[in-house]
Amino acid sequence: MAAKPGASLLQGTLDLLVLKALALQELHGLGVARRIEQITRGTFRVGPGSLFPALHRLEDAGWLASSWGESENNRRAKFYRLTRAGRRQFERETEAWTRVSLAMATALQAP
Amino acid sequence: MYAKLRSLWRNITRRERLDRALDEELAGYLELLIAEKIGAGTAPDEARRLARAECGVTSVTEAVRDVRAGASLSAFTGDVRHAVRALRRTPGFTLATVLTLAVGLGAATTIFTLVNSALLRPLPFVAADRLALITEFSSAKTTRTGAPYPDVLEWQRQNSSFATMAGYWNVPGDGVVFGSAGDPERLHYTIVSNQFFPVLGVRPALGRGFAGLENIPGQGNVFIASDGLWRRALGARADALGQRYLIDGTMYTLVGVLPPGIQFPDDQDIWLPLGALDGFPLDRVSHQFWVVGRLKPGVSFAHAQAEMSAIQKRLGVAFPVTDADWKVTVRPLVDEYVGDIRTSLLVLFGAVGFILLIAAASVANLTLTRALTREREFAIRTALGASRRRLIRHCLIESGLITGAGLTLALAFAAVTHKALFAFTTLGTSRVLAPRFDLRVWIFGALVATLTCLVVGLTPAWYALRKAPQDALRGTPGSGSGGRGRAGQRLRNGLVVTELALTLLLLAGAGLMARSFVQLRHVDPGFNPDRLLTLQVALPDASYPGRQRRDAFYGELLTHVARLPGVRAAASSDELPLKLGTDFGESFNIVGRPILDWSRAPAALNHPVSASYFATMQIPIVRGRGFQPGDSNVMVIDRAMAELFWPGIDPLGQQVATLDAPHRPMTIVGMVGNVRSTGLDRSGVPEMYFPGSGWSHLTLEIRTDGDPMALVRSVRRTVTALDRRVPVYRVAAMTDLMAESLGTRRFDLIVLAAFAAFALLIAAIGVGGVLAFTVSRSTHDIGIRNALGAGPRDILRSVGGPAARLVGFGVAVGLVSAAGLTRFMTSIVYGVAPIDALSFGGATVLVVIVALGACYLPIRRALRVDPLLALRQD
Repeated sequence: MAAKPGASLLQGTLDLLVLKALALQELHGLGVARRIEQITRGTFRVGPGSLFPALHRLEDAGWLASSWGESENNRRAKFYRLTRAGRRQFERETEAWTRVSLAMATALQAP
Repeated sequence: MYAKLRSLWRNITRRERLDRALDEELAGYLELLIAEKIGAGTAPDEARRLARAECGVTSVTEAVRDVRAGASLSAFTGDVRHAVRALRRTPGFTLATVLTLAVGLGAATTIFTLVNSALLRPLPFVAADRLALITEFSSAKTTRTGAPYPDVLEWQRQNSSFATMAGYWNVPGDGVVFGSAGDPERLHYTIVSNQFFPVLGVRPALGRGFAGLENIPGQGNVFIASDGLWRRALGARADALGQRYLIDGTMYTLVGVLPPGIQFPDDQDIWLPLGALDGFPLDRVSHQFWVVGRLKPGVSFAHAQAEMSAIQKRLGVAFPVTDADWKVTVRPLVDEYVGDIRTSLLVLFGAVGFILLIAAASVANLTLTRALTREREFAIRTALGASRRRLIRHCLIESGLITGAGLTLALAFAAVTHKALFAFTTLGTSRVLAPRFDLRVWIFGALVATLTCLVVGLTPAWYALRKAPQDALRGTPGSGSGGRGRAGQRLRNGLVVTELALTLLLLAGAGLMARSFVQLRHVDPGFNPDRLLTLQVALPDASYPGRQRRDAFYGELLTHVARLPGVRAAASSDELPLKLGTDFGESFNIVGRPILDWSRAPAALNHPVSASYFATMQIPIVRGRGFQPGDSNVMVIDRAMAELFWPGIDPLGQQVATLDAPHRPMTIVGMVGNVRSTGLDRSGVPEMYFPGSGWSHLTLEIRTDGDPMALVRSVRRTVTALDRRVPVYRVAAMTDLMAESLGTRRFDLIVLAAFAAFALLIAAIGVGGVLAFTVSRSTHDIGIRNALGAGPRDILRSVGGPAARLVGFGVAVGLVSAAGLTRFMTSIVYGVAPIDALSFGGATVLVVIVALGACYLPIRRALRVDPLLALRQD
């Protein structure tokens, strides 16, 4: 996991980011990595060593489904998408995360 | 949850395909990455190199595998494979540990099969723990007896503790002759009331139980047969039911056959109803009936006892002459069958616990030694990030493999040997109990093995983990510098002290048993058992009605046998000495003293014997004379009876009237030495003899010139020549019978001695191992000290000192615990105090010698350390 200083990923954050990345459309591995980079404006760069374990873990948990397809340059690639359980999980996690981050922000801004 | 399970299933079943798919996915990722980099303007070769560096494909594959569902499972199989490889690399260690545990667990499971058979599920009846045996006793009689039938009826009517109750009339050793000429058999029988089988919860496998009028005298010419008799003598045919068979010369109809394995209460083959009795003893003086009762749910034995005592008290008031002095005992039926061997089994079970502890301690010790030599491996693995859990798992898997192998051997051993072992104890003589190898044994084995596995596995794991890896890595192997290994050493020392102490304990116990055994072997039974053949014959009642016919037959038989070549002398009596448990006393009154009611009169064993009995048995006549042919109304008593009833008075000429012949007092004409009639370990039971030849059966004692068993055939021929219908049974040499009577003790002794020997071996290996390890670790130090001019004496002191301290400590702990524990053996030792100087001293000397002997090799090695070689190691 490559990240800018001070931006080490909290436990579970990566899973949420992966779910977020797949919330709009199905993507292959590299696509997920690039999408995360993009939506965090380059704060998080996810390498394969963290990305693939996360993808497989989420798939085992039943939140992602995968299928083989053609990549943009006609290569065989495995595409991931959210399952219904995955979408529910994404919503739960998002809500929890929003609460936590709000609380953290409030706490840190307190005089 | 479902998705997770499905993934787990898929991961396990399609692992290879998944791996291939992952490889393909990663390859695709790499291609995409390269393409991306080329698209961004990097040169193709450079792009490929960068992408590869970024991926490090193998570690990604590993990482993905680790998160997959079931990852821990495949890691587990990996660890198992690893452990198997490690164990195979050290076959000596593996063999030693597996065998040690196999012996420990084998001893435990095998002894447990006995405990299971005798103590946990002894009786083959439904809810046998709710069954009670109800007997009577009085102040005058030392032994328990049955109840008079009228008492039984009153109990049944008045009590509210028992759901049902039944009486049975069982004369131990009494029998009937079954079948007719050619192949007569003498069988044990019991006369039972109609409720007998329902109380026990036994339903005949064929036919029916006793019912209705069969309880009424003269109405019960029917019988029930055991499964064994039905198969052996009745052809195992269903149409045997309703057939008539000859029992003691009278025809009886077979109405039922019991299921296999039920020969209650003794080793019965025939059950007759109360109605089979001709003269039904309805008086309140004949204490014949033993009573079994089934407690109502929720009623305790204590409550039943209280109620029955109250009922009996009321009977005492109602019938003061006959019942006032009689009290009633209610106790679990189970106790009746396992009473004698219970202590012995519990002691052995305790010993087995120690054996198991020793085995576990020893294997933990060996494993620890190995862990110490693998210290660096552990340290490196910890430093490289192997998790604590993984290390513990590794240790547990290894110990699990060892224990599993040990348990397999142990269970196989127990399964093969438990029947023979059961037969080897006195349990085997009871046909009521049966050896059991059931689920309980498996569960017990599994539980004990699991505990052992935890002890053996967690000891080295705990040791490996409590050390910071850098400490282990810092030291170089073979150097004794610093405090490293000290905790492990302490742990190992503790284990060795435990082994030594337990060994001493077992040795002391075995010593006590050995001493008891020797004492008993040298006990004078009161007669000469050498070259003495004994056997019994029985006469069918119908063919030999009345005493005269019987006496005539017995007299003729004795004369013929005495004339056989090789026979020095022959005698007869009703029973043999040493017959355990048949101390039926006969009540008597002394003429000239206040006449006591029979229920209160004293009792002594009484034996009708032939005139030749004392001479043949070589029982010394102390005063007066023995019997002569033609004697009548005379008796001979033993020294114990004289001392008990005529202390300081000459008993000769005194007259005694027995319950059997109250109006025909007998004059004491002689006094003989005491004979241990009820067992080698019991003395002082008063005994009286009168001339006579026994009842429906007779015991012959034949003193021979040579091997007594060589005469069996000619004696049998003599009996058959007189009457083909008379069975000959219980043929044995007296010396064998004596040895047999010590069966339980011999068994205890052999088992304890085997345990102790095993413990000694293990302890020796333990002590020697610790010392050898210390020496090999301090070779360097010893070398330096040698070089600096230390003499062998100094080396001996520095190496041998700690070992001697260990042994001393172990012996001390062992002696203290032995002193505390052997008192539980009080009831099974004979003629020795539970804390016996010889047994304890012998055990101590043996432990010290063997332990110090085990130190010999390592110490020799320490003395021969070459300073140059030792120093060069670094």
